Order: sequence, then C-alpha cells, then structure tokens
Amino acid sequence: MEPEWLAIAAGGALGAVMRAGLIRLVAARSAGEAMAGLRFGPALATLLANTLGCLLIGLWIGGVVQWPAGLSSVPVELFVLTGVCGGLTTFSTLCADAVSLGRERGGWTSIAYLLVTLLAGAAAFNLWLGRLG
Amino acid sequence: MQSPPNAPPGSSSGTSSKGLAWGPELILVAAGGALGASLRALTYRSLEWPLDLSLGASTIETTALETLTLNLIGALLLGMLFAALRRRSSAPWLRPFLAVGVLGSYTTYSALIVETRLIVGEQGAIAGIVLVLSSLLLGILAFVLGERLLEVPLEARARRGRDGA
Repeated sequence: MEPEWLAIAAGGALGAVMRAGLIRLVAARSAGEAMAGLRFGPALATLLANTLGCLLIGLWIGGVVQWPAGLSSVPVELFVLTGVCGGLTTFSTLCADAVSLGRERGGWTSIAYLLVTLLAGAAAFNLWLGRLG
Repeated sequence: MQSPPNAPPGSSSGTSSKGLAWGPELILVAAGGALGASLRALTYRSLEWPLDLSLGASTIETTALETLTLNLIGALLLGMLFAALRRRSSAPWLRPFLAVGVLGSYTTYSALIVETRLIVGEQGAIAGIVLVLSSLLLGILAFVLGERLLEVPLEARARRGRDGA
C-alpha cells in the first residue's frame, strides 16, 4: 500500500478511536445520572470530538503542533489532517444528534446545540491566531 | 442496561446493551475509521476533476462543494442506518463499525470549518455564514430523508407481515 493511503487509513482509524473514546467517557460519566443526562451524552461527545478536531487542525496549520523534523511531510500531513482530524470530527453524527435533540427536547435545544458546535469549532480553529499574533 | 429508544445507536449511552467488550468494539471502530477516511479521500479525488472542469471555480469553492457532497451522503446513509437499526435487533458490530467508524470518519466537520474560514477570507463573512448554515441544514434534511427512505418500505413490509400472518 502506498504511504499516502496508509497514512490516511491509519489516521482515520486513530481519529475514530479517539471519538469512540470520548463517547464512552461521556457515557460513563453520565451513567449514574437521570435520563436527561444520558440523552445529552451522545451529543456532548460529538461536540467535544468536533471541537477537539478543529483545535488540532488549527494548531497544525498554525505551526504550533508539528511533527519532528526529518520525517516526510506529505504522508504526515495526510495522517494528521485527512486522517486524524477527519476521523475525529464527524458531520453525520452531528446531524443525527441535532435531530435527536430536536425530537427529545425541542427545536430550540437543537439549534442551540448547532450554534455551540459552530462557535466552539470556529474558536478552537482560530485559537492559534491569538497565540501567534 | 438498555439504551434509551431515542438515543442515536451510533453511541453507547451507558453500558453497551449488546455486550460488546471495549476491545472488539474499538477494533471495529478503528477498522471503520480507516475505511471511512480512505473513502473520503477517494471521494475528493473522484470529484476533483469533473468539478474543476464544469465549474471553473477556485480551489476553495470546489473543495467546499466536495466536502458538502460527501457530508450529505454520509448524513443520508446514517439516517438509513439508524432507521434500520431501530427496526431490527441488529448485529452488535454494525453500530461501532458503520455508524461510529465508517460514516463518522467519512464525514468531516473540521474540513467544513476550515473551508468556511477560507471562504470568509476570500468572499466575506456572508458567504461563510451561508456555507456553514446551509451545510448544517442540508445535512439534517439528508439525515431525516435517509430515515424516511428506509422506514417507508420497512413499515410496509411489517404491515404486510402482520396482515398476512
């Protein structure tokens, strides 16, 4: 397998596993709470994963997070950006969560969730701008 | 512990009701994630040439369109998958592999944010807001459409089963 495709696949695997880890983490913490907490769980996990992915991509593009020098750059970029960030963030689950929240808690909750996702993602992505001036 | 009926099957709210241990589940997620990311890259490559040729638009716009296309496909498919999973007691590997793994990895939110930022830089805030809001709205519609696409024939089949029994 060519290194580029291997990098993408490996990164995608890692990103998805990170997202699954967040899902389990949020679920474990809300397991003892009321039904209300449980229903927010999946959406919160998606929010965290998406925000973290935007943070990572921002830090990478901004040069704050870098791979050690000497390693070939194209597969590394594919691994981190296409792979990990692409796998960590998700649009499909985001839509599913928004629809779920809308059905269980009404349209305004769904809209609020999407707005928070947007703002958090944009802020996380742009975080490096502040650091580098 | 049973998942609440409305909880998206792609996530585990509480313990895994189907009894998958975390090891096998993570392997399924990883495999699906690898496949999803590869399919995503393949989709970008497949769409690149026809889009550039027909639209003659800048790279950012064609990339944004490609991202939107694959995100909508993913949302549609996830809607269908969730509808299917609600209907029948499913093989436990389907959720982690297909929902969390493949479709979760195939679709991307970070690319949407990056492209929105670039579009804002190139064409202003309004263009960026339009891109991101329409993406979300279309995604939700695609997801619901996916559910409907599967629920209608499944419901018809269930009704025939009941009537014919």
